[in-house]
Amino acid sequence: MNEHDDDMTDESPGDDREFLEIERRIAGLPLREPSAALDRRVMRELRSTSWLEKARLMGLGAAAMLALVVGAGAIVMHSRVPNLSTLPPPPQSRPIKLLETREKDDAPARPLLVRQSTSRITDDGIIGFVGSTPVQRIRQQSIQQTWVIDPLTHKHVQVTIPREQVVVKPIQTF
Amino acid sequence: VLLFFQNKNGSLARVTFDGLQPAGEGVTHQELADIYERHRRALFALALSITRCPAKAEDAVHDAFARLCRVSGRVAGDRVAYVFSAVRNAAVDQVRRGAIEQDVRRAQDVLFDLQGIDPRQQALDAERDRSMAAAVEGLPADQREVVVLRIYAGLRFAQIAQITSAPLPTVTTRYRRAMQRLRLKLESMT
Repeated sequence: MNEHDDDMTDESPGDDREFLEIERRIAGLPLREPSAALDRRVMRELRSTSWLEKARLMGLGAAAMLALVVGAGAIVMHSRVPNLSTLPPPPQSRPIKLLETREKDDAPARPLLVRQSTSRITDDGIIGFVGSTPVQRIRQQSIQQTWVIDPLTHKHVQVTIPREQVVVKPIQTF
Repeated sequence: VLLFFQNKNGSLARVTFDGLQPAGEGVTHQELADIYERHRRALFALALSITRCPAKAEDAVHDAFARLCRVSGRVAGDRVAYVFSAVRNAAVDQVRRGAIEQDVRRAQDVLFDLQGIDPRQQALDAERDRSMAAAVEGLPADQREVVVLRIYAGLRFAQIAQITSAPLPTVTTRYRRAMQRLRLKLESMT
């Protein structure tokens, strides 16, 4: 027999009076009482944890108070009338000290050097044999130009130094 | 306008003007204390009907309240049913642990204190009460559980369905069968 065969979804399984007497009789039976020890055990749990709850609430309250004090302090400090005796003295205006350029005018002007170097490498290829080993010549040519400029008169002297370096090296054959 | 949707843990949440709030609130310890004060006999009887051992039943009730105190979760449904459900689970845990002797579980005078039958009542009535108590004790466990929750805890069938995790028609059917069985017993005595 299926447990769901009775289609009863309301609060009363059938007629209320149908089981009234039997329900009354069962309700009148002396139900076994839990011991006082159980009451103490359960209440101890509830008290201990409620103490934790209180401590948590007290912690939250303390944090809120601290935030309130800090916030109020910040507002008070921000809106407080400044005490002139405790303020640092305002910065004193000082006369601008002009640079004395005369000494520098008397000093000899230092020349300005401008230097430029250009170079190129030329491969002359195999230029001969030393024994059976071919020899390659590489030529590096460079020009170093230097300008010495007088900053006062803007006159300049140009010095050009050409250089050539020749390298002869054997070539590995296979 | 309230919008409801289901959280990951199955509880309902509602959208309000203040944002997202769970539909259920946590059970405070004061509420737990109130529920215990009001239903302590029925809670103990439920645990007894499952464990069949007074000491283990007390352990189950204590364990359940200890867990309820530690858990800070929210309760979406009926709070009384929630507490009964916790006690039932703790009692089932006690049985599963196997710590209860088989002969203890078969005992027939667990739920009721037959010494407490009023000696002033008629001898026939006293005998009838003893027989009725034995008949309740002898009910199948699922039917006995529903009878305890319905008669001694005074819970609605919807609450009992929530506690026992059974469909409502199943709960009412169990109750009706238990009542029919007990009525037959009563009729046989008269």
